[in-house]
Amino acid sequence: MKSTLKTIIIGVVCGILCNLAILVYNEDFTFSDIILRFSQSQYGLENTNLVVLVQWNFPLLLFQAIYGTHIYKHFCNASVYFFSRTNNKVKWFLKETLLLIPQIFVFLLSELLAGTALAMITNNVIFDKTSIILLVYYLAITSLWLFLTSMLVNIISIKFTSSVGYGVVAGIELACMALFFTIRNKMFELGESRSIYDVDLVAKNPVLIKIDPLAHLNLSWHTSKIESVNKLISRYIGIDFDLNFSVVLFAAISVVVVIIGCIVAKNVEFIATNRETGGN
Amino acid sequence: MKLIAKDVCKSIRKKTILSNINLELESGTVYGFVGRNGSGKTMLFRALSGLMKIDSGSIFLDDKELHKDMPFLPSMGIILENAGLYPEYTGMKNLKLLANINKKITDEQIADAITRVGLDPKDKRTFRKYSLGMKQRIVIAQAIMEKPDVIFLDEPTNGLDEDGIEDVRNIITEEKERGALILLASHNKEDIRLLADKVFYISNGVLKEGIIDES
Repeated sequence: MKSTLKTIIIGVVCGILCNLAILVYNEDFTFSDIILRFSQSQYGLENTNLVVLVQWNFPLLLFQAIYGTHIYKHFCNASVYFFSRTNNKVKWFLKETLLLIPQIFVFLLSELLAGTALAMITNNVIFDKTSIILLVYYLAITSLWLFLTSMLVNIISIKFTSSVGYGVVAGIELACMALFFTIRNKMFELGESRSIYDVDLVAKNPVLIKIDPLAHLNLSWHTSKIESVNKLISRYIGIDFDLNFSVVLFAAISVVVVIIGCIVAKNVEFIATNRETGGN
Repeated sequence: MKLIAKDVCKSIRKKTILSNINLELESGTVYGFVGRNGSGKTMLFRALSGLMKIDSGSIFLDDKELHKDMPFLPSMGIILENAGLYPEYTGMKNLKLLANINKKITDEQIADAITRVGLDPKDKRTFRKYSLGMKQRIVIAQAIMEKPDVIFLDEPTNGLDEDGIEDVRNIITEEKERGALILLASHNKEDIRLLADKVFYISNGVLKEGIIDES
């Protein structure tokens, strides 16, 4: 209960901080608009910058920092007493993995609802029907991303240490942010126009976007077969980047990550991994 | 019941941790293990309990061999240094999670074990907020709550005041009278002198029998 409360508080704080800029407006926003803001959709590849990327990814990095060592800490702290009663480390690991999932949803919903409540202070927020579908996609994609990155931190921490675990995963995410700018430069090389607003270049080169995992978090860079959703999101007309593709991709990677985690948990001798408290 | 170790050896990163350990331990007895820090006491407990694989040799519980017939000792309670419980849960919640694995005991029996070590089963404080002495007491409770056949106690009186030490000594005596086989590692010579029926010295992974005055 206390950990859920902690998650809610962190989510609310992140939701408020990330959406503070909306207070300067005095407009009508739909709930879909709010969801798209939280999926970093105000910016396209052609006009994003490092500050924006870091700002909007900060809550995700924060969640990974807090929950990315949750299973690992349990592994260090109490696994002796669990594994002296059962040989089934995989069962223990899967149970711990399942406990992470509700925290992810609580965090994302708290963040979104706090941001929405903030928007309502100076704006009129209208709850539209399409937002339900958009919410499902937002939660599916973002929660799967949070799940697989947090699990990766935990698994690498179990195998090595927590500093290696978080360093590797955060390092990869920062590299993905840097990759955006490399992709953009590559696109300028491909096209004749050097205009930073040349969205056609992006639509013609979907592969260059898809290779960066962080691109999958931005709903507006996608398309959807559901017309009402597609109208809201398709920044790049004609791009081959379906929302379902991102869901399936992240789900598949999550399954692989969990399998690797089971193998690591089964094979690592827990006593030898208690480096955090000075054990051996 | 007998716990037998034959020529048990273990090395970690080419350093010998246990060297040709031979033991024959019987139930209803307290065996004291004495040695300096880093001598191999804790590693010996890990090996005998099955929580650490050995490089060579065999460990038997009666006629069953560890890591062949069973992954670890089937009825075991253990306290190891540097091992704790989940910090975000209360003592009772932690012990309930553990008891739920094998479902051998009821909530009342868990509460009895907690009371036996001098703590309150209804205490709402989480393990994180426990004092060192309280943490030690609650891990002792988890070791004895299921009335195991073999109990490994690695420095059980660490962090305890005089009353706590007395309580733990009484518990060890009661468990011995119940018929448990108890392995006790302690720097406290008084613990070994008062409780151990037989004493072993371990130095650089080598075990030999002795008497307490030798230390």
